[in-house]
Amino acid sequence: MKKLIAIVLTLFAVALFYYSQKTPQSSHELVVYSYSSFASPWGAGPEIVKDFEAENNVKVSLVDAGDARTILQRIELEKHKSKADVVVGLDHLILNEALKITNWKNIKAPGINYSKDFPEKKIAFDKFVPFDWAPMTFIYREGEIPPPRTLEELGAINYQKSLVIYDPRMSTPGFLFADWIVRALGADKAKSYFSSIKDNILTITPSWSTGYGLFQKKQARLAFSYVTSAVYHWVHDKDLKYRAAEFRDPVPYHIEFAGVLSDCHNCSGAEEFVKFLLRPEIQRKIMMMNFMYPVLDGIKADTAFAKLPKLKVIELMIGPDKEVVFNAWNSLIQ
Amino acid sequence: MTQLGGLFFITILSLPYLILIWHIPQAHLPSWSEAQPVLLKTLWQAFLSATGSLFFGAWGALGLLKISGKRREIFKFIFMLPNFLPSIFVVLSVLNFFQPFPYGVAGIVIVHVLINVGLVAFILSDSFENQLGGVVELAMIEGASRFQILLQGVLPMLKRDLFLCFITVFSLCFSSFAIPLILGGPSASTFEILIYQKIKIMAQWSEALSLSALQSLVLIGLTLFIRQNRPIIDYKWRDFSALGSKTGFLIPLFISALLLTGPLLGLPAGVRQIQNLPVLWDMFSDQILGSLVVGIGSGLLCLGMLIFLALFYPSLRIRKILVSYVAPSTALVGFSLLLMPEIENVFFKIILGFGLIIFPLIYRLRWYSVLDALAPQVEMGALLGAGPFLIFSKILYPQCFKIACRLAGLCAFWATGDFAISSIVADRDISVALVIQGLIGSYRIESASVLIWPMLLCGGLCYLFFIGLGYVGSQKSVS
Repeated sequence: MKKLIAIVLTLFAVALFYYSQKTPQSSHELVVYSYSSFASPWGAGPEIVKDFEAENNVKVSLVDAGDARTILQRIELEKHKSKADVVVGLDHLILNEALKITNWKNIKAPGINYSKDFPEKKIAFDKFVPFDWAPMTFIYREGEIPPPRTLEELGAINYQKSLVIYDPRMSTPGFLFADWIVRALGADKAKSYFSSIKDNILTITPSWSTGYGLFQKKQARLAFSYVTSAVYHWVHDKDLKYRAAEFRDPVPYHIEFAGVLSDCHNCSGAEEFVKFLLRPEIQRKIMMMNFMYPVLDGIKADTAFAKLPKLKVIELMIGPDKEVVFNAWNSLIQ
Repeated sequence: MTQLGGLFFITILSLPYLILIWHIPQAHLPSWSEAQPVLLKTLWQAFLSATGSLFFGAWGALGLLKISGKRREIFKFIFMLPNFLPSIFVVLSVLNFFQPFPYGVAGIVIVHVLINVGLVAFILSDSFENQLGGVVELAMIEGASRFQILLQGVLPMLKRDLFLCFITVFSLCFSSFAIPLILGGPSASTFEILIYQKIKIMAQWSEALSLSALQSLVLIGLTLFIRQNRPIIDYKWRDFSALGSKTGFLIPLFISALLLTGPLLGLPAGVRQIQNLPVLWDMFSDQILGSLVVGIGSGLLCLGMLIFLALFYPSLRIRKILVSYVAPSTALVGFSLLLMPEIENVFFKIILGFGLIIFPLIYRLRWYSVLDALAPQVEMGALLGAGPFLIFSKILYPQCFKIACRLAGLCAFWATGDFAISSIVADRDISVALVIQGLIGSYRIESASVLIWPMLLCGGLCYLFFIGLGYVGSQKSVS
């Protein structure tokens, strides 16, 4: 027993020493802060980084810095000491906050040939470059429940205890749902609407992953998610029952952006990396591994993504009034 | 010396508060009208959850008395499993079992009780073994019934330990985050959610910090009710068969089996799914090693802190401050660690963060009672002119090293399943728990249910390591 304990303690010391060996950051190294599902080994990030390193002869450190909000908070806390050159995964809801928190470099991105359905193509983004997006809707399993077509139908009796949504205070998809209702109905009507669908909500979870997990495990019959979520199940689970509800009302959407920090260490590499995300082959990778629509035109054709319903989206969602949304939401939780 | 040691210890524990206060320029208090309803709701659910957990947990502890030797250790470990599982799997298991599930306060309380019964049984069985002395045997000989022994012997002697257990579970349920939100129905809200909202959405750090301090105040209020009677500590083998309860044993066993059905049900589909993720296997050995490093490291830190406290044996006042201290919310600790660029190694950061969060809980759970029980011997030693090191080596170490190791094992077990601190601090998936979190977040919940098992194995190995360390250490002290 004593020998075993000595061996374990020695191994522990060796492992800790091994992990503490860090190579210092060189001026050629590029540090990319990104969100978890992009940076995860099965996400699009590692493959994109590998391609970029091979082409540009530069070492890229892909840092999993949590979700979009955590990334921003991390940058705010690190201030000028931040090692990040590029941030990948800011969404359109927090761009204004990102601009307030720190300075971002202007990016001279080439004229992007946006996909026809990309909602914000009229805006010239000079500091943040969109690299993927998806409309939001309810996902259901065919044969289990008739899909809702309007917000009004979502309040119908046959959806009792069927919906899983997410707390807008903690989750971006959750905020998009609440913001959708406020935009579609106005702040006052939104309050009564939230009260009216209360009985149809099975549960409100802190994150999309928990809520969608409950839906996958058939605890809920309708989950608010990306229209592109259905493709994951078609491709990986070979399950064609998963469908995206075709709302007649315009639906909200989620766009993800990349930006270069003004305090970047390898600024030229950072700008190159952001532009790299807009290459057609990289856009294809993002689409297939991130399960989001590409922003470039012509990438989706002949893929499962082309078979998804074409949903009308709300116009201009950048810079929502959070106070109004949270006030309306409070009518549901009080 | 002892006062200085105690104060140094409190300063280390409150490091996250100090770092954040240093970095937050202005102090803002949250509005009372906003905090009050959430506070009342949270207090109510925490009170009900702690009461239920204590009742069934004490029953479970009586069940553990029916088993002896190594088998008891194994069952203690099995009873602890619900406390270790990611909340989504706990929820799935419960929702499969209770149809229809009573969402709302009742639902939150049910799940909190299911999660914490094993923990209470684990801790109270230790108290039964070491703090009842020969009372039970004597009462048996005198012909007292089990009910009489419990009511007139055990309850008065252990009411302090029972209350400390209650406070610990209360604080756990008070700061619970995911369970109240998922199972509380549409109107769920807790204090921890409010803190999270202040940090994440409003970026109001000072308000979040104030709310966290208010959490501490609630606990301080509760600790005022701790009675100052001196518990005894007794290591002789005793016959507790008159107290043991078969049904009590079955309750936590059933709960563990029930809550493990969630990850079990997803296993076949998960195995199929995981075969299509070769990248997972390429890095798996690294993550297993990472989990073990986090677990062993956190356990060693916890053991070091427990031993430090025993060595410097702080005054009663400092011991009481420590028992009422609540670590700031996980998010606050995580972000305060990000403000320490001097510590580059993420493992150090995770171990430190986890230690700072879990130690107050471990201390309250058992160590406070252990130190109090040894107070008369320490005072006697000091009176006879022994210095702190002599007192430690001759009085404290032989009697409490094994308990310290058991508590460190508990800490190590929890640490291997941590993703809350790790996800803020780590820059990649360094442990199995983080991979599980990542898989759940990318449609792969079935694969996650497969990885629960290696994570449990890592937790079990870390726990056993500290149990072994306690065994070897206490043998050394005897020889």
